[in-house]
Formats: sequence, structure tokens, C-alpha cells
Amino acid sequence: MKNNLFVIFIAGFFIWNAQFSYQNFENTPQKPLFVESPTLFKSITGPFSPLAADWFWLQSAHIDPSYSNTLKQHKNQSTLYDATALTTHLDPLFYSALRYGTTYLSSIKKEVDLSHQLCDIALYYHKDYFYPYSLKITNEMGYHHPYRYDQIVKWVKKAINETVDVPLWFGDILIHARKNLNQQLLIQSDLKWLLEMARSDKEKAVIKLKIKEYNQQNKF
Amino acid sequence: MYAIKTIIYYTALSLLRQKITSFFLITTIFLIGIGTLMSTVDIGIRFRLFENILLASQTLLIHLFAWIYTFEQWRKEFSQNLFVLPLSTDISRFQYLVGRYLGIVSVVIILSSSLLLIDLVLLRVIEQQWLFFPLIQIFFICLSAILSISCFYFFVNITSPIQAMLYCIALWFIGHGLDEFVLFSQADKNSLLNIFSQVLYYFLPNFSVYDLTSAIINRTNITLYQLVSPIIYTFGYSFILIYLSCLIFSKKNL
Repeated sequence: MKNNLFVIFIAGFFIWNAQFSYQNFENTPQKPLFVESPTLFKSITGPFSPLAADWFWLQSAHIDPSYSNTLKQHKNQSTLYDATALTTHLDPLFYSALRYGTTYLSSIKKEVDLSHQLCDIALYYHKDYFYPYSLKITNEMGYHHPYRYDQIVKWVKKAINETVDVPLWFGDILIHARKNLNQQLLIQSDLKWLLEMARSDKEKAVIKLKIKEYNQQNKF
Repeated sequence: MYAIKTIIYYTALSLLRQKITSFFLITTIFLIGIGTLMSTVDIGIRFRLFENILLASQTLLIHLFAWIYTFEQWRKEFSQNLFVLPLSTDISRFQYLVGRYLGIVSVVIILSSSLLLIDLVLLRVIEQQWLFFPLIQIFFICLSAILSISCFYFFVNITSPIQAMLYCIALWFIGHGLDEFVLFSQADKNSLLNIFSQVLYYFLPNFSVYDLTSAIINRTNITLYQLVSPIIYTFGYSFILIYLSCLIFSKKNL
């Protein structure tokens, strides 16, 4: 009986403490999320790193904006970047956090390069992950003026080379970028390369049609 | 073969009758309750937090109890000299060790299968559809626990049970960080650190091959290699470790 009472008392204490901590967490602004070495932190958390990513992701909603200026002076980075970078390090496939972080950085903060850096973190762990390439190009073409077409060409080529689930329209971006870079001569070789890289007969047929159209337009 | 079967049966039965099994079941229900409470929280991907808590807690539980069961078994063997009775019959040391090992493995498989069924029903109730994708991770957790038990069997023949357990836990944590360590050291391909990381990567048990939680909760594609390689890896590595353990155990002064 005494033991049971003791267990109930301990359990009650933990529940009270958890509730108190939660209320505290809800009401007080958090310090900026910054871990000196996210890679080391990821390796320490091991199989629990996706759960840690969720924790930091939830915490990032409570960051006090007044911290951002101080941190920016010292680190030349925004607080939001630190928060989403840590989340991405811990779970590189957590696409919601990545999408939110990159879009917020490039659209609201006007820091497109920082948003590209965030995508690079995800690509550091998963080279064959298509989504960060897609985000990079979307943010570049959406929020950076003038567009850096040379970068876009590099990303599209890398995405087609290294990832598996690349949609066919990604090749169109490559051709569009080449046209804007005035590299007309390279379009022909790029189309041939896209034909080589095609993953199905259907894709091959579409690219062949594009080559034919291009040849007719340019009278080759 | 009959001798091995009997040892497996009695080892499994004695372990399932222990008080720690009841504690295991209570903890599992408690953690599943927390996961279910969290299922209403949407953090960008619906049910991500719920599945994450479910898989992370079960990773911890299955490993923890695999270590505790193995430790308890070997502590009793050493303190009460339980080797004496079976080894005085015509059972060889090889049969005894393999039987004991497979007994614990079968207990881990029973526990993982029960969790698998509980999760299947829970996912059906909460997410309103039959989901088999998250259950792959439970199967891999079971494989990881089996490899961890093999490591324990190897160490316990060299050192004491408590040290073997500590080495096992340390190896499990190191094994999970090996992928990141290799990535980190690849910055300079000719460095000594890179060579060292490669040696560790292929020499130490790599527990990161079992970790598909991120891919599962984010519903990204899993390749056939990711699915098949952990199974072959577990059987291959465990076979080597148990073979070495048998060699040491056959020459050990009991």
C-alpha cells in the first residue's frame, strides 16, 4: 500500500512538473536555436534525430524576434536560418520545414542565398533527394532579380544526374536557361543529353519530339 | 537439433515469465498513450509527430529490453553457475550457446511482433487506413536488436556481463553516428580521418542501416537496396559474431 502511494505521488509530481514546464514554454520567448556542430549533434541523437527535429521545429515557433538582430551582427545569419538549418540537419527529408524555411527566407527576408544554403544542407545528407533542387530553382526564379541562369543550369544538370524522380519539365528549365544565357549552340547537345538520361520510353518520345521541333525552328 | 530447440523453448519461457516483461508491457502502453495524445498535433505533415513518437519509443523499448534480458540471463549464468547442469549432459558448448542465443532472439521477435500488431491496429484507428509502411521500421528495429544481442554474446565471452552491456550500448550509439562521421570526414578525401572513418564504417556494426524512420515518416521512396541490405547485414554480421563467441566459449574455463 505504501509503495503504491509512493508511485502515485511520484507520477503526480511528474505530471504537475510537465504541465508547469509546458505552460512556461508556452508563455516565455525562447532563446535562438543554435548548436555549434549540428552534424555532431545529429550523430549523438542517432535514431532519435527525427524526433529531435520535431522538437526544434516546434520550438522555432516560439523564437523571440528581438534576438535576431544580435545574432545577425555576430553570425551574419538570421535566427530563422539557424532554427530551420538545425531542423534540416536532424531530419533532411522533413520537407515542410525545408519549404517553410526557404520560402520565408527568400520571400520575406529577401535572403535567397541563405535559402539555397538551407537546401544544400538537405543535399549534403541525401544527394539523390530531388525536392531541394526544385526549391532552389523556384526560389531563384521567384525572388532573385536578375535570375542567375548559370546557377540554374548547374542545379538542373545535377538534379537530373543524381536524383531519381525528376519530372520531365525540369529539362525545359535547362533549355529556357540556355536561351537566356545566349548559349544556342549548347541547346542541341543538352537535348541529346536529356535523351540519354531519359528514364522511360514515354520520356524519350517526348524529348525526341522536342528535338525535332527545335531543329525545325532553327532549320538544322 | 532437439537439444537446441529445448534450450530455445526454456530460455524464451523463463524470460517471458520475468517481472520485467510486465514492466515492458506497461511502459509500452504508456508510450503508445503519449503517442496517441500527440496524434492531434499537426506540425506540417499530419500524423508525423505521432508516428515519430511511436517509432522512437519502440526503438528505445525493444533495444532496452533486449539488453536487459541478455544481461539478466548471463548474470544468472555467472552468479549461479547455471552452465553446469546442461553441460553435464551430452549437450555440447556450441549447442548450449546457440540455443541460449536463439532463445533471446525469439523473445525479441515475439515482443516486436506484438508491437507490430498493436501498431497496425493503432494506425488503422488513428489514421483511418491500413498502413504497412511504418511497420517496416519495427521490423528493422527487431533486426537491430538481434545484432546488438550478437555483440553482447561476443563481449560477454571476453568480459563480465555488465561491461558487455556497456560496450553494447556504446557500440549502438557509435554505430548510429557512423554515417555522419563518414560524411564529415569526406571533406578531405586523403586525410587520415577519412581512412580512419572508412575502417570504422566497415569494421564496427553499422546500426545506421536500420534507421529508415526519416524516410518512413516523410513518406519518401525506399529503395530495394535499403530494404534488403539490413537483412543480409544482420545475418552475416551476427553469424560471424556468434561463430567467434562459440570458439571462445568452447575454450573458456568455466
